[in-house]
Amino acid sequence: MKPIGVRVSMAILVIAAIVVTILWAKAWGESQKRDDGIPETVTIDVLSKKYLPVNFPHQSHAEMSGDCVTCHDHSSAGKTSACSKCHSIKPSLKKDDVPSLKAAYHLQCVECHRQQDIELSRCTYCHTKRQASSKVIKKGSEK
Amino acid sequence: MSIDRRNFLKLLGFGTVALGLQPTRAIASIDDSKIKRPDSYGVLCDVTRCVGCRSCEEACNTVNSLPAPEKPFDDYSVFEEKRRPTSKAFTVVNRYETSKGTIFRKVQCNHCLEPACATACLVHAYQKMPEGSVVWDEKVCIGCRYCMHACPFYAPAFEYESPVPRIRKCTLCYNRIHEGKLPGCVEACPMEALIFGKRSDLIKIAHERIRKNPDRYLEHIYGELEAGGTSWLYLSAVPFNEVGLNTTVGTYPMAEYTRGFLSSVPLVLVLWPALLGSFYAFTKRNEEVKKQGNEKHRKEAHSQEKGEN
Repeated sequence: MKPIGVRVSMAILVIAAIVVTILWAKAWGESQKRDDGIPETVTIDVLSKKYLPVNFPHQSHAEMSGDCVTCHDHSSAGKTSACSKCHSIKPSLKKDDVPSLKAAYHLQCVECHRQQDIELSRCTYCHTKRQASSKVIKKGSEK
Repeated sequence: MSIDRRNFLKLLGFGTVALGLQPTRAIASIDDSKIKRPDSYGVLCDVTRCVGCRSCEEACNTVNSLPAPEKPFDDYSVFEEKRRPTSKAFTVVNRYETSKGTIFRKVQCNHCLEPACATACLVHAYQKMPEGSVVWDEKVCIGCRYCMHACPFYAPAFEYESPVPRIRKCTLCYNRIHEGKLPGCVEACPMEALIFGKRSDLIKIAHERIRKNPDRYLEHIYGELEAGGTSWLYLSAVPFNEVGLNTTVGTYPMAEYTRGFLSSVPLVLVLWPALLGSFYAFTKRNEEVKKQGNEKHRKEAHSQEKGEN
């Protein structure tokens, strides 16, 4: 039996090792992401009322289009700006022709989907409907 | 017996002036600034953006507290047939197979600037509001359904199955506009195929879209001039008749075809009897005056004769 002091210091050492490993892994992951700069999936949940948030497969779409500015308009290559910078969340009385955020997303996605096949432009192709019970909503948002 | 020439010409002159005045007043009302209010609201429907998701139908059903539909709003089998707005659905989306593929379009009341339904209405149950809405008043309507015949867009619907039937149609969400909200369908449209604004602004936006995307749009805004102009405006990639819009309505306001005749009805019913009645009374009085005069003359002559004798 080792004295208590030694046992405590060993436990501290083990915990410290675990923490260091986690931190390093996280930092490594972040650096990985920073390397190619493109997030794999993007969760769009700014406007989720009727449907669950969309897990947008960003990587595959980026590969498909081959160029960031195809979708990220008003951006220069390699430096994209947030859509919500210009497109307001709330649709309003129209004086200019800038679509609201929801419309901007849809115009971007659906126009292309529709050209492939009209079935790809159906709401539920991208969106999962929220169920009426709140339990399911909780489950869905945890996903 | 005969009316003298001067009086006859006088009457004829008054009659002609009265006849001439009435239609002039009717024509002057066409340019009434209340009707063509430039700051009235409207909706621009970009048919190229519509994906047939039926969100507008669902929103319309909700905001107007309409009964649940036979088929749910995510049932796309409804596109198998061409539908019309009904008393239970003020707006419907139809699918059209066109020269440029499948296109969807929302159908509802177009809220004409000079509505034929309002002109046809015997009791003024319809009103074109300064906000742009064409609204119907339940308390005034007598249920003749002339509005349904008059409408070139088949918008008003009648509650045939109800014991106390009403005319039902889109109101351009008149109440919601007053609460500072967007019309239900406009708010719900995920593609912003529908945008709400001042009609004058929408026309500018529409022209700008055409200018920026000449390949995408026909160089025409349906509703800018059609049927004398409508509050609902359309942009399309294909000729408008391919998406079920009536292209035979012309640019002359529907109301104008009947306004001349209808405005002469009160003239005929009110003015003519009065005019002819007074004409008759006048001639009769003249006759009597003449008769009396003659008699007096005769009496005087008679008494003179007597005196001489």
